[in-house]
Amino acid sequence: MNILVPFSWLKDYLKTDASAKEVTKFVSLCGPSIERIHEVGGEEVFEVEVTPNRPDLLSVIGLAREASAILPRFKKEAEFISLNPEEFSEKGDKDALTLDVTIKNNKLCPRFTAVILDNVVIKESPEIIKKRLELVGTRALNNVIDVTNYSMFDLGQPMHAFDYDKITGHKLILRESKEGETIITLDGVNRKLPEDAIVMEDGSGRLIDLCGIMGGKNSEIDENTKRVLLFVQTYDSFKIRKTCQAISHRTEAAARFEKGIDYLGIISSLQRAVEMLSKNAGARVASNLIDIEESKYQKKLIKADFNKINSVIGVSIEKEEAKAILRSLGFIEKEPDQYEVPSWRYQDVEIEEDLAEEIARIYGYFNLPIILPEGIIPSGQEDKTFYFEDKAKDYLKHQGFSECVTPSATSAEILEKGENTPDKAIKIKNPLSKDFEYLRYSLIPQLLESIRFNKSNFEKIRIFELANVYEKTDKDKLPNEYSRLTGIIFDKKSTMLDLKGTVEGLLSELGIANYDFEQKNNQEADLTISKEVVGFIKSSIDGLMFDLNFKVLLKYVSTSNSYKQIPSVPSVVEDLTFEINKDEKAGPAINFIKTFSNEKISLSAELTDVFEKEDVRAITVKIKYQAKKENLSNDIVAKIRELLIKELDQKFGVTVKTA
Amino acid sequence: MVVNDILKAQSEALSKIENEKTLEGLENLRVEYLGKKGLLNILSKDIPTLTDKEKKEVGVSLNKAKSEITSALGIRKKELTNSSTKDNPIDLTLPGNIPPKGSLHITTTAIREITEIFKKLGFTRVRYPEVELDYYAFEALNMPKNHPARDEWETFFITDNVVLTPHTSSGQVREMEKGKLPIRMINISRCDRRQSDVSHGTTFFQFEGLLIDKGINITHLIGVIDYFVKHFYGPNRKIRLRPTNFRFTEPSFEIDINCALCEGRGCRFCKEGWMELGGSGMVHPNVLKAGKIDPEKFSGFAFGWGVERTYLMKSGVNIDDIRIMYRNDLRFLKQF
Repeated sequence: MNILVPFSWLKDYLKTDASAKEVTKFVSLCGPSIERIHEVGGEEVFEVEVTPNRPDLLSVIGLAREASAILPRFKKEAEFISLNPEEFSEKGDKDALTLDVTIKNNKLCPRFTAVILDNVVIKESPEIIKKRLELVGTRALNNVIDVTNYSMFDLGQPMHAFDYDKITGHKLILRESKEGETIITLDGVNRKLPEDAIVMEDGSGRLIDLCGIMGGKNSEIDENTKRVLLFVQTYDSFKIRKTCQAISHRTEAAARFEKGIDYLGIISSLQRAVEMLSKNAGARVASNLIDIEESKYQKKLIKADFNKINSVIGVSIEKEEAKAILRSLGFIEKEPDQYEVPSWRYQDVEIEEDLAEEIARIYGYFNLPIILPEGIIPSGQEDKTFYFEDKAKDYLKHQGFSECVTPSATSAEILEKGENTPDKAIKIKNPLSKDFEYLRYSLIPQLLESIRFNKSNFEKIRIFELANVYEKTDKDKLPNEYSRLTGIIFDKKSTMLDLKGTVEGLLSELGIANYDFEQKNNQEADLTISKEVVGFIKSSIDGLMFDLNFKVLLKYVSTSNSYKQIPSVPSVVEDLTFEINKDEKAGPAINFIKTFSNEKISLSAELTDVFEKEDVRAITVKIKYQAKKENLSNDIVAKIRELLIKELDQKFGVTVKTA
Repeated sequence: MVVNDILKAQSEALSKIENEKTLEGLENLRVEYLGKKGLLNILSKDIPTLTDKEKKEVGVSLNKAKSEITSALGIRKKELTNSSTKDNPIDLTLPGNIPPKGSLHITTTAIREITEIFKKLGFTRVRYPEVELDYYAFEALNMPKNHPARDEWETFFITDNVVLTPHTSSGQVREMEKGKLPIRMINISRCDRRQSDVSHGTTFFQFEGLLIDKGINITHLIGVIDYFVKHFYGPNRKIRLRPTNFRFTEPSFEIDINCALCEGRGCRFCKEGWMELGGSGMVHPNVLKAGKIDPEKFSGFAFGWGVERTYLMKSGVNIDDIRIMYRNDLRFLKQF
């Protein structure tokens, strides 16, 4: 997430001679990325991108601390001005106000801290507070609420202020919500809560806080507020996150709580806020400090093996320099080479590699050499799939097809238009919109959509896509995911035989020789290889389409070419025309000619003409008689021809007219 | 020796026919070789004086010579007839008849270029499921269920355990599970994320490099990425690393490349002279462990970048809305 940090505010905690531009450049190289400097009314405001592992940088003080470690590496002065980590100094009166707190489940809130203030006069905040809040994008409201917001941006600790007198019985119960409970939050929205949100109810049983996310309207500070309950907590970050997701609402406070806050920074934050409230609102501490620690802070120690750290980085950084870097970031060497992780980095730093990162980034990645790895190149061949995919794509491209890439999912409407059923398709649980809701199990619907889309601009369209489709399997199992190759020809001239020829050319390109087209009707034929259906060709009003199971095709592809000797003796070529009834198929007869070879002579046949008469078709093929060794005499050819004509008549009932 | 003479005459005739430029000349050649007083007839006059065996040999050669010369004459005659264009003026200012021109999708072209470069460094291309188990997409990558870091990947879920893979990093542990070391993998695949705006389409492509071997450190990551950048973008391009965070790499880097347009001065295409390429880092020990690799013995690095973005940054193609790539408008597709 990005946060805004005014340079002038940063200087509260950072004494430096670096300019805003220099801070931007140097901090970005070694720390968080400062995306840009906004100029707002003469103020330079940094926009900082903060990664989720660094909630400590979601504050002005955090950025100052980071900059103070980085800038000196670039010969810039930088001194970090820290807050006094002293204990809470204010003490309540004898007749102190009290709060009856019950925490139902100690995991929900590791540390519950609060103080009650009286004598509060609600008014506007001082100019500097109002201005700073405005610079970081928050509207100033009044002198109490502003302090809670200001503290969050300043120190990274979200806070909440209740009107003490609106809490019935001055009693609070912190617990998990029951599903369906509601609360009207400060923004006036009536929120229906999921199960397990962290909430607080007061003595009357009403919910007054959606903890860590937003306070309740019923207990808010208003212009008549006299007594304030100031609240600083830590919460179970997973619960905060889950609730935000469930109610689809994430506040600045929640964004910090869900990443984890500085456990040891709580008291100094509270102290700081109390000081501001007394200055800005005349507030007076009217209770003892309420500080319920449900779990004690455990120091986190990490071993630093500087040799190992150097082996991760790849250069030898002097031990003293590495130690100085860790110190500058707040890591404390407790025992030799044992470092205590600073409380504000508690969630982030876990292992030695984390220390390597800290040292390397401050040392400067730009100081590392460029080295190509040595070592052996792994053996093993690339999956041939890619080679054949490229071959198929190139072939189709050269046949005038344009390759499409359509999204993995589509709408019910497009599926139905393409004669696919949404019920058969895998449904996305959290679709972004109706346009992207069902995973496709065929490439056809989206390609048809593309035809419809392009029709208005093109008279001739040839498109294809080679991509995966997804078929339903058992729930929680991966779908059956495999690749298909689908193409559509849309123009006035192309015929089904053009389509079939395109597919045959493709198969030949992939080294597939043995296949059959099994015609189903006038519009459709299945492509089979070894009796296995691998796809179909089809004619429809939207165009001529082929749809092939590319995964199965891959079983039959081949790259090996065998060499057949080129014949040394001339061949004899002649035309042969036969007539066949219109409702009968001519393909088998033509194929038969090709098989009419013996040990001496082989025959090949090429279709040259189809002439439609009333109820018959005249099919002309060019037959090539190729002898293997000796020259062919007219007699030999005549004999074979005679035999061929006879068998064509007997087997296929076709009448041959010799040319 | 008659046979030799016949063969000589045949080859001489064939060569002359092939080189003949006019129909008249061709007729003269026919008469010269095949005419009544032609060369072949003259050669056949000696046949009666030969033995039976020789007669047969000469006969076969003679027939063959006649048939080849006849066929060659026929072919050449056709060629000469067709090429007589003097009388048929043609207007070559008219547009030519271009065969249908297809196109490959811009991502295919990009993927091929990227793969070629990494191949030279010994990386092998692989591909893993596009609909993937949550385990490989997140958990094995050091992101347990409900971890806030997951928010960076706007993920589509099919069930709680099955997702549309939001990144090619899902292939890391799958590759490790093959059990072969060292690893030099380049995984290129379709990915999907739950976002759609001018710079994001729900569907996009990523390529992921993974190198695991003994003694691999940050300088090697810089070496490989620098090699790619210099070969893909040009020898004058430079990279820089900035810190960032991914749960599955430690340390993690954002890789920037210097802007070619302003040469580092800063312009509207870059940020202060640098453009963001993508993320990378040293493989986290927990990820190695998930892939059954001992992090004490082996280390590695990984990077995963968008194919479209990487390619567009090279080609200088200025596309306002990246989603046009997947709208399949032929007016767009045919430009590539």
